[in-house]
Amino acid sequence: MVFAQGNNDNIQNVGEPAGPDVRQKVTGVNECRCKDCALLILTVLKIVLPRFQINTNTNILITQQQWFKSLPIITRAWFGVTMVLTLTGNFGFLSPYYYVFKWQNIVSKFEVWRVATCFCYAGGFDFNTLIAMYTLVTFSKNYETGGPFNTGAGGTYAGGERKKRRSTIDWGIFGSFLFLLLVVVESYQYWTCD
Amino acid sequence: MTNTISDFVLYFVTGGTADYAFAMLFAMVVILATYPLLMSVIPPLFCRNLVYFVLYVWSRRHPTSQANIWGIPMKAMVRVIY
Repeated sequence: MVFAQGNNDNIQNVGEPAGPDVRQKVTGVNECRCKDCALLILTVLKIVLPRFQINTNTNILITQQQWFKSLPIITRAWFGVTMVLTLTGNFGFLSPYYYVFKWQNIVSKFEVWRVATCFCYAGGFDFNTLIAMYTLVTFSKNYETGGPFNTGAGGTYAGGERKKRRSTIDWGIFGSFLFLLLVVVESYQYWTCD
Repeated sequence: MTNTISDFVLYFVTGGTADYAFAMLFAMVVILATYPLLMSVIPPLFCRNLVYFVLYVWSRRHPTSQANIWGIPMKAMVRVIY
């Protein structure tokens, strides 16, 4: 890990906040204020957001926290993790390199979080990222609360009222598709050239 | 606000969440497995790909529903083209 290979000069300053001289001694640069800026912004958000209110059509005032708790469970988890990872990646707490999907590291170094975190980093601070986050929340919530919709889990209707149960050929198509995917996954090392 | 185990189980048997979880798993498997074909095209971060999967499937399911894109209301089927 990157964090393990530091020098031991700052051990005596454990109890003290790292000033500019300590930071300069440890890292060699004095210009990185990313963590300070992030802490400032997060503190301001923590104070402001619970007081920020959305006026809905029914004249009920909902705070941000209540809005987040009102989301369905998968949407809540996905949106929360995406928010945390995007903010930490952009403010410099963690490099986004640790989020990307790299098959060699997953196999050889057991960095298994890469399977999940590559779906939870929306990108840099950008207008497209904002639109992506809005789309994520809106359509994920619509999908999850929109009632039964059979996409293979079984048990509910597919294709409206005409088709009451999932037929065998659907499972056949699904199984063959999974088999193709397995073939692709197993030939992964031939596609990656490193 | 009582959050018991039975409430937690109810999330997964009433239909929407179970199907959504399976669809998400399926989409993640497909995206990860087909990434070798797209290695020179996209970076290995698939958040927006998963978002567009959800958008596409929901729009196919509800083609005539009203949806907003950048604050402009339009039919959901238009978003499929987009």
